[in-house]
Amino acid sequence: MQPLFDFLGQFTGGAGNAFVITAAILKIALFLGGVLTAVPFIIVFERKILSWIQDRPGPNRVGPFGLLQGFMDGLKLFLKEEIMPKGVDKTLFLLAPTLVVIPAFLALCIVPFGPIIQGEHLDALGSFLGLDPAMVGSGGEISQVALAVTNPNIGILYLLAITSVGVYGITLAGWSSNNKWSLLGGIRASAQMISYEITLSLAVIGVVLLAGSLNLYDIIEGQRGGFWHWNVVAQPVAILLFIVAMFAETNRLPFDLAEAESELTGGFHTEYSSMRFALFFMSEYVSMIVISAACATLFLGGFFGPIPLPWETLMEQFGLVAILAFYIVGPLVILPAKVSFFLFLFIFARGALPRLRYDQLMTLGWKYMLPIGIINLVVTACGVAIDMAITRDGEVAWVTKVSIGAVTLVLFLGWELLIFSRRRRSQLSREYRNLYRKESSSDPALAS
Amino acid sequence: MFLLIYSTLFALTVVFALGVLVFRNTVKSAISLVFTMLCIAANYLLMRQEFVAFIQVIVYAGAIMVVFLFVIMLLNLREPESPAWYLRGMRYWGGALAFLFFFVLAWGIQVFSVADLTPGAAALEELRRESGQAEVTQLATLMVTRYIVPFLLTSVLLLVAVIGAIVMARRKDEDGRDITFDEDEEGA
Repeated sequence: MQPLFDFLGQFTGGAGNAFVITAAILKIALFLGGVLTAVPFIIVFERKILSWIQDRPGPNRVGPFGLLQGFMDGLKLFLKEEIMPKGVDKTLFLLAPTLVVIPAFLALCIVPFGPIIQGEHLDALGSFLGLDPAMVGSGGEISQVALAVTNPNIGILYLLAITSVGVYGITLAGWSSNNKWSLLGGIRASAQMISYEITLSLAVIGVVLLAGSLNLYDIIEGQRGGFWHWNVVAQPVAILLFIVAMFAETNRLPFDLAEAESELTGGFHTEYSSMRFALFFMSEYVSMIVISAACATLFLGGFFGPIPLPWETLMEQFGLVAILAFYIVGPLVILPAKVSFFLFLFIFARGALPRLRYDQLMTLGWKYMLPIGIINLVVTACGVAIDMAITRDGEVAWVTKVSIGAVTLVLFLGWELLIFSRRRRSQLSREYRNLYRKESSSDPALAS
Repeated sequence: MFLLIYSTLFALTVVFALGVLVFRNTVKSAISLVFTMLCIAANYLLMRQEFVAFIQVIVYAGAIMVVFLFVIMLLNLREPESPAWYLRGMRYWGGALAFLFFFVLAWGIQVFSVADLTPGAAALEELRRESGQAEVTQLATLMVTRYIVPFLLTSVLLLVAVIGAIVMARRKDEDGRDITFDEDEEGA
C-alpha cells in the first residue's frame, strides 16, 4: 500500500496527507453508502412491521418477501414527472428540499461508528496493510485513526446545531408551496421543533455533565465496561425525554403534525413530486438513523457491547485476527443493532399510537417534559458536584451514577403520581361543580 | 488555499448580509440573515473557536431566526412592501450615511485596538497560555470567576423577559380574573 500513498503524495504534499485524504474519503463513502443502502430496506421493514401490526400481508411482490420494494419505489420516484404548481416562490421551492437533505447528511459525519485506532493496534494494522511505520504508527506522523468521519471536540454541540438548522427546509417548503395546508404544516413544524429541541438539549446536558466533555468519544469512553456502566443507568429519565424529543424532532408519529395526512393532505410536502419528494422522504429516514445513533452513543454505550469480552487475552492468542475483529464488531454489529432497536421503536410507535392534537403537543413539551428535564439536570449537577468534591479525580464514580439514576427515577415517578392524583381529584371536583350548577340553575331544561 | 477559503467565506458573508437588505420579500430577507449567521459561525470556525461557532449556530440560526420566520409566516407578508412611503432621494442619502458609518467604524477600530475593546478575548488568551485546558473549560472558568456578575445579571434579565412574556400572554375573563388552562378539559 505504501507505494500507492507515495505516488498520491506527489499531488497532495506528502504521503501522510494522501493517507489522511484517502482514509477520509473511504470513511465517508463506506458510511454514507451503508446508510443510503439501508434506507430502502428500512422503508420495506417499516411497511412489513406496520402490516404485521395491522394484520395484513404488506408488500410481498417485488423480490423475495418484497425486500426490493423500497428500491423499486425509489426508481419510480426517479422516473416520475416534476410538477411545480402555479404561484410558488420558485427560488425557495427549489431550495427547500436541499435545506432538508444537507443537515441530515451533515449530522451523519460525527457519528462515531467504531473506536479510535491507536498505539500497538495501529502498528499491527499498519504493518498488515504494508504502511511505513514512520507515516502511520504509534510513533509516526499519524498516530491515531478515528472510526468516525470527523471527531470535533464539541461533537454533541455540532449535532444539536445541525438538527436545529434542519427545521428551515420543512418550514420553507410549507411557505413557498403557495398552499394553505402546506403553510400550516410548515408553521406547525417550526413551532414543534423549537419546543422539543429544548428538551433534547436538556437531556443531553446531563450526559455531558457525567462525561465532563462534549466530545462523543469521551462520552463513549465513560461508558466502557458492560451495560451497567452505560449512561442509561445514570440518566433513566433523560433517555425517556430524549426518545420522546427525538420522535418530535424527526416529525414521526405521534408527532407528525407537520405532515398529518388526515388533516393536511401531506402537509409541507403536499406540492412536491418526483425526486424532490424523494429527498424529503430520504432525509427523514437518514435523520432517524442519525438521531438513533446519537441516542445509542449518548445513553447506550455506542459501539461498546453489553458484556465486555476479554479482548486483551483474545488479541494475545489470535493476534491480528482478534484486532481486526475488535474494530469490525463495533461498527458492523453492535452499533447497527442498537440503531435497529430505535428504528423498530420509531416504527412500532407509528403503528401503535394515535397522532397528538396540537395543544396536547405543546402542553406535553412545555408543561411536562421541560420541568422534568430541568429537575433531572439539577439532580445530576448536584450529584456530579458532590462526587467531585469528595473524590477530586475528575471522574464520576459508578456509585454516584447509580444514585443519580435512582434519585431522578424516584422523583420522576413521584411527579407522575402527583399529576395523576391531582387530575383525578380535579376531575371529581368538576363533576361535583357541574352537579351543583345543574341543581341551582333556574333553566328548566338544564335543571332536569 | 487557506487564503482562498477565507476570502470566499468573507465574500459570502457580505453577499448574504447585503441580501438581507436588498430582498423585498421578507422571507427571503430572513433566509439571507440565516445564511449570514451560518457564515459568521464558519468564520469563528476558521479562527479555531469551535464552541463559539456552534453556539452561534444553535442560538442565532437555530432558535432566534426560526422565531423570526415563524412570525413572518404567521403575518403572511407575501406582498413586497410598497415603495409609496419611500422618501425622494432616500436611496442616495441612505447610501451616503452607510458609507459615513462604515468610515467611522473603521476609524474607531483603528483608534481603539480590538484587544482593548474585548477584555474577554485577552483574558482567554492569557488563560490559554497558562494552562493547556480545553476551550469550553476556559470559557466556563472565565464565566463563573471573572465575569460572574454580568453572567448572573444576564440570567436575571432573561428571567424578567420570560415572566414579562407570560404576564402579557395571560388571558383574562370578563371579571379580570385569570383563566387557567386546565389540562383536564382536554377531550371533555
